[in-house]
Amino acid sequence: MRTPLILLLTTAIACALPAVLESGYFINVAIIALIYVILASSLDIMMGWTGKFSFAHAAFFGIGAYTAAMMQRSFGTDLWAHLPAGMAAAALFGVLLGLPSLRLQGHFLAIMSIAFQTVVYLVLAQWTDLTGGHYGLPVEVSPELGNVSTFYFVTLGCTLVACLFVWFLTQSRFGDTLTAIRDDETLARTIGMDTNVIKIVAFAISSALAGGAGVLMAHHIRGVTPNDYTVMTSATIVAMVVLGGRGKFWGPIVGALILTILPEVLSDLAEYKHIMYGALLIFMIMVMPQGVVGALTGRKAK
Amino acid sequence: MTPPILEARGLSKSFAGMVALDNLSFSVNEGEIAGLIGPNGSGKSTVVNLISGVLVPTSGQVVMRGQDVTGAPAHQMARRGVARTFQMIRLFGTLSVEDNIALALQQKEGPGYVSSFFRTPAARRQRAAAGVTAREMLKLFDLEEKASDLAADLSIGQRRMVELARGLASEPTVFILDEPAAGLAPHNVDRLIEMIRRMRDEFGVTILLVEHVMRVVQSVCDRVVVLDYGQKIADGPPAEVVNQPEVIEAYIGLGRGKNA
Repeated sequence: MRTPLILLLTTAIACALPAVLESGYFINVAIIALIYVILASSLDIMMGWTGKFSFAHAAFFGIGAYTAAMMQRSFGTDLWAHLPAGMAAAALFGVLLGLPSLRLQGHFLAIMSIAFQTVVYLVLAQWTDLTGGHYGLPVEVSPELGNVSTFYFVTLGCTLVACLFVWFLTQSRFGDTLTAIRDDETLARTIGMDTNVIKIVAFAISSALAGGAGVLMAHHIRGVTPNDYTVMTSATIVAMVVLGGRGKFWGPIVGALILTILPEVLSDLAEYKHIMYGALLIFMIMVMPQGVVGALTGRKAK
Repeated sequence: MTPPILEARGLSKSFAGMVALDNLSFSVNEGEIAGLIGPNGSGKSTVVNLISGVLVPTSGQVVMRGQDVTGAPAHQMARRGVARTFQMIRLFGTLSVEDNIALALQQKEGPGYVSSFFRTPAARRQRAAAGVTAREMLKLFDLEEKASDLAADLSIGQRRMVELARGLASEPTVFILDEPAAGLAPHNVDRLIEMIRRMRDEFGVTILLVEHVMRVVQSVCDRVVVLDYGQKIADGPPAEVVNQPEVIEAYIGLGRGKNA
């Protein structure tokens, strides 16, 4: 139970950030970083724990964001209604991607996820009546959340809940089952695990959290445009997980923080961001496949 | 008479027209150590995969205690009490040896994922109990000091014993051992023979042993079924079976047989 305590402590320290950071710009960066922490941690349920590479996480991120925008357009709802709805919508699509993936292994699953990501992007960009096409849709933030510091605290709270959820999930029997599927799916079935159901549930949970992150994003940048939810975004989230360390609780958190804060520090090089991500990914896989956190903590049985 | 614990009735399996198994019938009785032998490619592994639910037969039935279980998926066969080991040892490499066994024996109590997520006292007790049972099993196999090691870090002989412990811990009705002596050093084979006997004598487990190493078959099996080209060519006590001309021909060939 040490990890949740450290997490709470870290969150408490993070609460002081708006007081320290005078400029709203840095708080904005912090909010984006937190959203990516949710994205990377939730992707790690699939990538690290279940061992299934997915390049579709930005699609679920986008589905959550667009659910918020479209709900507000039709019903005038606010963030608190959007969060559960965005998560549910993303979970539903997660199951849709999960079903065909039951028959696919390894690279084929990754390719399938890229196809799914591309289809979602094209729908968002082309179905103008529904999604506003390339211009996207606006999202209005309710007045009590209008202050950037307030929104920072909301995002911080959501991130804390999401991370705690992931920790409890992966430390429970469900986490053991995911690890079993990652290590040897045939064996997992042979000892009596219904691996198909487990994989679908894992897909749904992972997607739901990404959908929640999407709702936060839509409210944060006060709108949605398809270009925020492309395969490049998916690749960035994958890079975060690989950089931080797969299947380690702190791995995706550290990876997400590094890859959102670093480009801001090196803003002159922002144009080359994706080239650097690519190079970093290749470097990590060759030199440190277990990621930064994995390399620091070593390999041991729990 | 009680029905046999496991029965194959006219099992056939073909892969894209290649007949791997042709109308095979045999049975395994409660408390028996039955052997399944045959030359390479005779269909032994196919039989194991059909019974354990990894493959679905083209025709024929798999019957457990008189109940037709043909085509049930692997996880359901496991819950019905069919445990197995693999020719190429399979363990969860990144889990500890203890967890490998605890995970297998927890499957029968139902998932309990929700209570485990909330760490309810009942779930904690259950998990602790599984750990205790797993350690007892490891003690039986002389591996207690390896309980916290990663499964991937053990030697082949030790990994094979963990596979046996995993199967035995799940309290199987039928335990299928798929070439357990493969890759073992002679002293480990002796140990294997001892453990197979003990699993039946002390735990009452019915065993279907698929094996190449005749020393193992001769010393533990009550009865042996011999396969050749997907067909049963002999069925009887090991000492008798090995002297049957068909069996000798299948293994050694006579220069005019189909194996020549």
